[in-house]
Amino acid sequence: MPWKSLTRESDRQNDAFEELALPLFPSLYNVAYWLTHSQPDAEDLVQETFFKALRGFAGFEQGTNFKAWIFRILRNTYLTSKTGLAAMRTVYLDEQESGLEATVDWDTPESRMVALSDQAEVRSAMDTLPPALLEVLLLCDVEEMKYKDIAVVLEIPIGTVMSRVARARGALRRVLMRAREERL
Amino acid sequence: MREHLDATLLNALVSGELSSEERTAASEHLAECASCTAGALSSAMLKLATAQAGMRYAPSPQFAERIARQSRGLHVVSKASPQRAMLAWATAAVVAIAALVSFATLHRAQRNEVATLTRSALATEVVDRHIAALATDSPFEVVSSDKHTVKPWFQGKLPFSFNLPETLPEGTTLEGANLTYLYGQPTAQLIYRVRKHRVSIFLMSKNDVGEPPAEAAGFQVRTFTTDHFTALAVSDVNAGDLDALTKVFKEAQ
Repeated sequence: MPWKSLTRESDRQNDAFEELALPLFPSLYNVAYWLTHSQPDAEDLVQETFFKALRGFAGFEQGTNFKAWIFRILRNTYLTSKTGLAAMRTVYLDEQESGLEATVDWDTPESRMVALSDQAEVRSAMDTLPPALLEVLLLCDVEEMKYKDIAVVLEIPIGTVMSRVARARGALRRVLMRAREERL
Repeated sequence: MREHLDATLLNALVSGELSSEERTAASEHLAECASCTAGALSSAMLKLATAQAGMRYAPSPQFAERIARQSRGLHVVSKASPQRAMLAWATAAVVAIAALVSFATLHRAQRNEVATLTRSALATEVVDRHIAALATDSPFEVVSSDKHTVKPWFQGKLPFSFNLPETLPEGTTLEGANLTYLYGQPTAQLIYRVRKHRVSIFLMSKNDVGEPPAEAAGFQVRTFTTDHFTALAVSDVNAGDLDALTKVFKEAQ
């Protein structure tokens, strides 16, 4: 009967989705929490992402990067949420500025020592980053996505991903150096 | 010397995003530029620190179960069926564990890449320090062939202790020592002469950087680690002579 074959097709879709999406669940939740700063908001964001992704899974092009696809859904869902709208209202204007991070003098002990900061210091520093810089660090360093996939998630050219990663690490380094100076 | 690597290029290098040609060009530059080598090392370590610090929030088991159910399209699971609920919980737990394992595997690959870069950067750094020390006209901070003079000079300057070998290979003499800093850590630099060649042995607090390449910029590099420090011997002397000196030094610890 036609409805039976439709059900089987739907089951197959669900199985395929489950296989691809569930391993990414902890990562999606982690990024969602970083962006929303709240457990209920992170849960809502992830749940809505899974809902949208499952509903739109038929449109996912097999052979393309599923991780980039579902993270783009997460990000777009965040951008249209209450917290996302509020956070992104503070536009990060540096993008338009011509200069990248100021040249770092690598010969100073401070610039070398900063990478030895402990986990709590790094987390506090990450908390101060604007969302546009934080999200690129999360995708690049924590999720270990390639620049071309980050470009898909953020819907920006790959050149902008490159400069944004550099700017984000520069900003993180400056926050850590300031924190160290204040402690001394 | 060519211009320094800019921030975008340096970060792309650390992220493993350079083409093979770009990577080769960057590596050639790093081999001759201590400043950019320090930058690459610092950026690689910062990337690793961010990766570790960034994995901060884990979902609750209840939420994991809810998502697992939603993903299977099972919006209605009878609350009166404890077997179904147990099965869902077990599935969610298995999925969460599988996800954590897959995340750990991904990180292992990234850690390997960063570790390789870090080891190369360390070799370049010690070679650079070796050349810099030999190029200066100023004498070493402590000039002595007497191990009973050299070793006590480091007291209070290093967070570890070490021994100097009683007997050195034929043709090898101790010339002196410097206190230097590698990546912010106080480091002993012991200078030996093997016939017309000089050898620097750097002693720094034990680290888990691993064994650097055996050769960097035409210099031989040897390393070993004790319970308290990591030793790196650098020289342009032949490999056999450097191995012999490294061996007696290691045996003295």
